[in-house]
Amino acid sequence: MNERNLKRLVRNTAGGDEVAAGELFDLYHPRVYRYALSKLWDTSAAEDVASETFARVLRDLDRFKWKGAGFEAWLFRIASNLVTDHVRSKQREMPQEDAAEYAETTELRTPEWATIAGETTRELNGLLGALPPEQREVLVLRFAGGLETDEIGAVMGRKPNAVRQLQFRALEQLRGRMRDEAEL
Amino acid sequence: MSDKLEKDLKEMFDDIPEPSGRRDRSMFVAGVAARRPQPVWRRALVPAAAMFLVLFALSIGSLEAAPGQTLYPLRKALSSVSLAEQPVEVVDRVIRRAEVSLERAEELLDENEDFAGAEAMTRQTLNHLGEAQGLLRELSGEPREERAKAIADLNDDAFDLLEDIDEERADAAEEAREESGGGDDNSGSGSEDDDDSSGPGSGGSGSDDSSGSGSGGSGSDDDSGSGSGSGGSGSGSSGSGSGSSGSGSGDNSGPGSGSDD
Repeated sequence: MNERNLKRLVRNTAGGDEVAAGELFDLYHPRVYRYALSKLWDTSAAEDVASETFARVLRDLDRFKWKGAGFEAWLFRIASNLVTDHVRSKQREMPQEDAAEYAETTELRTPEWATIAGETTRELNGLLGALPPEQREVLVLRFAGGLETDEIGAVMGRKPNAVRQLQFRALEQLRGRMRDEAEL
Repeated sequence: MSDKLEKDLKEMFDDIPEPSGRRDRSMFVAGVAARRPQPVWRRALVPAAAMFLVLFALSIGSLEAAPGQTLYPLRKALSSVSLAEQPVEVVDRVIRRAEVSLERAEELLDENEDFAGAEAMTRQTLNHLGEAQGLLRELSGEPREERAKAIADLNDDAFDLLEDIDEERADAAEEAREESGGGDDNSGSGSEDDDDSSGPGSGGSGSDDSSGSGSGGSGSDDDSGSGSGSGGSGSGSSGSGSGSSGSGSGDNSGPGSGSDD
């Protein structure tokens, strides 16, 4: 969807247009859910995050100002903050040593869909979990969230060039590891 | 290679099954619909209705406000724009209320022999008359004189009725005593004791003279005052007096009521 149409959709939603609201939800809910699932590897937690993200959109849409990276960056920043909150609250519920482990392995746990997916997916999933957090975040936002470089930068609070670099390094690392595994 | 990797990554995330999200969707859409801005007239409706209610309540409260009361200026203001009754209408309404309560008191006495009820209703009449007396200050000329006379007449009637109530109550008590066989107590009226003061005679200030049924007494100093205070119909020093002290008003225009014995 081009920016002009998206602006219209967001404006109409803010104005109480139910059709526009449904369209906006259908467009972004799956992406937010995929993003949350890719970060949390927990379908129920991902559903909660997606649900809460749209609840906050509803609450704060009046305050949203279209500037810079726009609506998508705003939406995924909300989702990203909720994911962080979720991880923290999970950690608070655990003993200290388990919490540290949880933080490290959050993205290594394999969700149900990945276990029944093809070999490439399982392999990629494992390799992705081994990437440094920022590189992983860039790839998740890029491929699960469908965001462009500028938008990823706005979500992560990084400049577009820094995002490009992170993405480049992440892909290089993945490529190298895949090559290594192929050689083995 | 790079293209294939990116394609594989995209496919991997695209393979993630989507949640139904139907409930969330409904809630989101309903929430958006609820945010729809309402027309200006609907947004103004609630504050306007609240303001109307407040003004209405104040107007009702000020209908009979007398000079000096908090709501009196409001009543004057409403009256000036013909939204409130004119002073003469207010006085007439209060006088009418006094008439009704006096009629009711008479009924209670004559038909039911309900002395307490009749007395209470009469006192209510006197209260209305006191209120009407206060409102008279807003009138002048002929309307004032007419209403003052009506108030004075009703005042007299009310005090007469109070005396009647006392007399009938005393009669009823005596009858009851006689029916129960009399006795040598000296509480009855008309006993032979020369200094008997237990009879139903009502004295103004409880003097030995208990034969009269005077009324008045504790009204305003001014003899021509409204005299709505009554010296009470004391029934002697040992009797069961039921003195009524009305609400005296210093207004000279009020009807004077009788003097003490």
